[in-house]
Amino acid sequence: MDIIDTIELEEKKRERIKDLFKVLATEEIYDIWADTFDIESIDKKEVVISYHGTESIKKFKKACKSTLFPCIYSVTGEKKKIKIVIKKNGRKGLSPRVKKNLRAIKFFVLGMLFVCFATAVIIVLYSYIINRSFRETFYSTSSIKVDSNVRVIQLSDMHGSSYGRNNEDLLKRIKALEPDIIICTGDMVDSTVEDLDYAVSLATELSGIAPSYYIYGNNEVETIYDIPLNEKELDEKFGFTKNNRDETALLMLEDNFEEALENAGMKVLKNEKDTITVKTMTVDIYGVLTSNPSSFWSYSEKAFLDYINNDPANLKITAIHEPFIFEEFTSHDYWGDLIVCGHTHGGIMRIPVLGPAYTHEGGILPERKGNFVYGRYDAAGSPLIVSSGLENSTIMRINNQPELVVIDVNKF
Amino acid sequence: MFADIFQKVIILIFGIVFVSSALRILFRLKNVNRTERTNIFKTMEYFNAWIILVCFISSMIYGVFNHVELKKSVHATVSLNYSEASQALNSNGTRYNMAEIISDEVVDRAIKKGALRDVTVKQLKNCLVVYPCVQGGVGDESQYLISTEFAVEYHASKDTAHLDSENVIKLITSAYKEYYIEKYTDSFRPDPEKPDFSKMEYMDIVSYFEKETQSILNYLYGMMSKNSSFVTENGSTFDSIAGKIYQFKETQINQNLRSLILQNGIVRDSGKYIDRLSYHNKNVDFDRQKNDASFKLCNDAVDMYSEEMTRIVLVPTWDKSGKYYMGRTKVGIDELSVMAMNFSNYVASNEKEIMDNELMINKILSNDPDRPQPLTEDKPAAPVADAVITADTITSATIGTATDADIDLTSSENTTQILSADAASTAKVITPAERSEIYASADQLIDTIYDSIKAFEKEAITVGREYSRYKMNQCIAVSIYGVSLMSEIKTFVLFAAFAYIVLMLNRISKRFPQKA
Repeated sequence: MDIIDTIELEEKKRERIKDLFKVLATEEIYDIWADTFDIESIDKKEVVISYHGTESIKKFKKACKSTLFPCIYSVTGEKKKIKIVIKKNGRKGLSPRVKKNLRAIKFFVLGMLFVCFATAVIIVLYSYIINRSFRETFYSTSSIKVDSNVRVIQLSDMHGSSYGRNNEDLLKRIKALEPDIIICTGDMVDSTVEDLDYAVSLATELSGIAPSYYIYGNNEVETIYDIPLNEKELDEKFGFTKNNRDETALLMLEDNFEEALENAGMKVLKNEKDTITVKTMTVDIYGVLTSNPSSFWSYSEKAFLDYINNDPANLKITAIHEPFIFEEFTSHDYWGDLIVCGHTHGGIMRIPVLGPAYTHEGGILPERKGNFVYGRYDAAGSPLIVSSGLENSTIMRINNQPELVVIDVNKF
Repeated sequence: MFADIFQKVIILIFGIVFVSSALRILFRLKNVNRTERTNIFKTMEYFNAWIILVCFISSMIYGVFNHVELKKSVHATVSLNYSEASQALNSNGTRYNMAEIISDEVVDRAIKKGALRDVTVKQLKNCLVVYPCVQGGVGDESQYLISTEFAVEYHASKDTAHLDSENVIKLITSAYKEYYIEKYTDSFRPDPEKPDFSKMEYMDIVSYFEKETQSILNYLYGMMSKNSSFVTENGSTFDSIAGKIYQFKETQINQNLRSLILQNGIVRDSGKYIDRLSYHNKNVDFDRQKNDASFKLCNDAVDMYSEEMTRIVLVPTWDKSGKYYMGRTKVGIDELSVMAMNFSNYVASNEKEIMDNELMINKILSNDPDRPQPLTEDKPAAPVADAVITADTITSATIGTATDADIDLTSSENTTQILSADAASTAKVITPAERSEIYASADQLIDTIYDSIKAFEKEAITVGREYSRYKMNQCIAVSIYGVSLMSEIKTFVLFAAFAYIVLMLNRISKRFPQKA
């Protein structure tokens, strides 16, 4: 037998020992010890095992006594001397079991990350698809000022979005829902001139369905007045001070958009009310132009209090773009029998349990801070409806489908 | 529907794996001894990243389908808040019926309210269930319970899968509320449109005003019968407002306007109106003759009534609450007397109507120079009743004879005198200037009365609303319960546990050797 045959035989024996060890050892023992030793040599007299595990040599010997050693005796054919040497320069560090567990954890974490990513992609895609259409949100409220149902449809924050060609789908649904009053609570357009044509075209269609009202949002205000309507800016523009403010000054400014909308049959309410008869009931609708809390009282107090205090038997609907005045002036005791507003886009993303995720003014989780972001709230005992709007073109809304708000006001 | 199928498929897959693993273990159990068996379980690696990942993914998929499926079911609670609800009554005192919540009318109304597409009443109704929230028993009285809360459940079917479940239940409850308010609550809805008085005859305007004021009075009397002591915030009661309106009706409408029109023969189209009144008089005269004949017949019967019959004939009669009974005290003659009195009243009423019309005709003719003047002397006065029986002639509860009935016969002398006096007043012919002045004042009075009636209507509505708010306590409250996040998390966790058990069992089963 030449030397090559001897080496081959020894190698085969080594493999055989390891195979046998795998069969005889329990899974636990095998997992712990299999990678901690090598069979260095098998000669006529002894078998040398090098141990390079982290556990003590005693534990290794104890563990191998009933598993590894019988394997060696079985392969070599006789009870040879087994010499265990500690290989200090060998692989050091974590035990194979820990390593295995770490591998598993790594795999699990990566797997979970992948699952989360895949889920996020699916949610975003689903939201993108679902946001191409709008849903109808029905609210029911009561007022002793009505004898039968009055239906109000609110459109808000469209930002030039379209549902069907020229909003055909939207208009078809509004018509089918047979509203008594239609209110657009602002930001129907973005601040470009082309968008204003879009609003006029929509106004023409809406006014053919029911008496329609338009309240400016911050985008319209920016286009028409070129300044935000807060007290400071307005005072600067008109040169007013606290003592000589004139509420009507703002309303006197040139407004071609208003003219175009009114020609289209839609009434624009700029710190003013309109009274109409619905069935047998008289309804006052008031639109707030200066919805900024700083300018609300200083630039519309007289008009608003006239609306609130006169004809108390009339059903009073207050329409405003931003809901901030209701958060700010909590001590005011009556804002109308129904209040409708928008602006918040429903918090862009709505998280289960936590609610709306973000608004520009309220930051992260604005509802937790007491902001009115989406749905029905109470404003001095009256229902306040904040629409998430109908915008579907520029931002990704998640769990926040564009909505058409339908409010039924009945006797009880 | 697909969500449901996918959910079932996922459970089926895990079920198959579970059963096959269990069978594998069962068949291979004999191949291992007790120690080896224990060893298999002891040495099993229970934290396996693959298994946990698969569990998580499958639970997520199952959770999504479960969410979609749960969204198809919504339930709402309808609470009746008014006081009569505790007696199982509607607010108007009729018996409450919970089945009305999902009645055809309500479902149809909901479909129309929501403009729901591609769904019929039957299809939608099949998805709805209503039951009382509190269920009583029939064992003993302590188990008798009247629920004032009713649960309405909606489970979408294949036909209604395209509808938003929450919107459907909102629409159903809202439609029911609307239906309930219309059917069972007090409502007073005056006509908002002002009639074109210039096209109406003046006497018709009077009738219109009378009708309007009477409808307000009826509404207030109805409210009074429910709660006569109710006082509004400004101190009014139903009675005080009704009294004010009644006074107005008597003075402004009947005395001022009616007499102005009658006295001056104010009319828009005299020819047409005279023809109408004449024709009407003919009809009323037929009624008068009929009533007069009936009156005479009753009197004849009273005359013929035998004294002996009073002892044996029982008369079906009724008590104060309107319940019928066989009268032992009331006798036939009393009944006949009552009938005679009624017919007499009818005759008097017919005659008054004829008289008013005649007076009107005479006034119109006397004011119209182109028309022949009325011949009051030649024209026979409208026949009047031969007899009028006064209420105190009826001797109920006494056994009397036919002769005891004291029938007060009056002649038509008085009415003839009235007609003659009116006819004499027509002698004065009104000049065109005076005439236009009278017409203008009549028109002005009409406008004033109309405005006053509208003000009364508003007052009645306000007090009615105030009472409704006080009594109805919001009438019906609805709470809607959608999908609960906690229940979804529970389902997710339970399914994850199930999936983990199944996969571990499968892994364990593979460690059992095929051969001993």
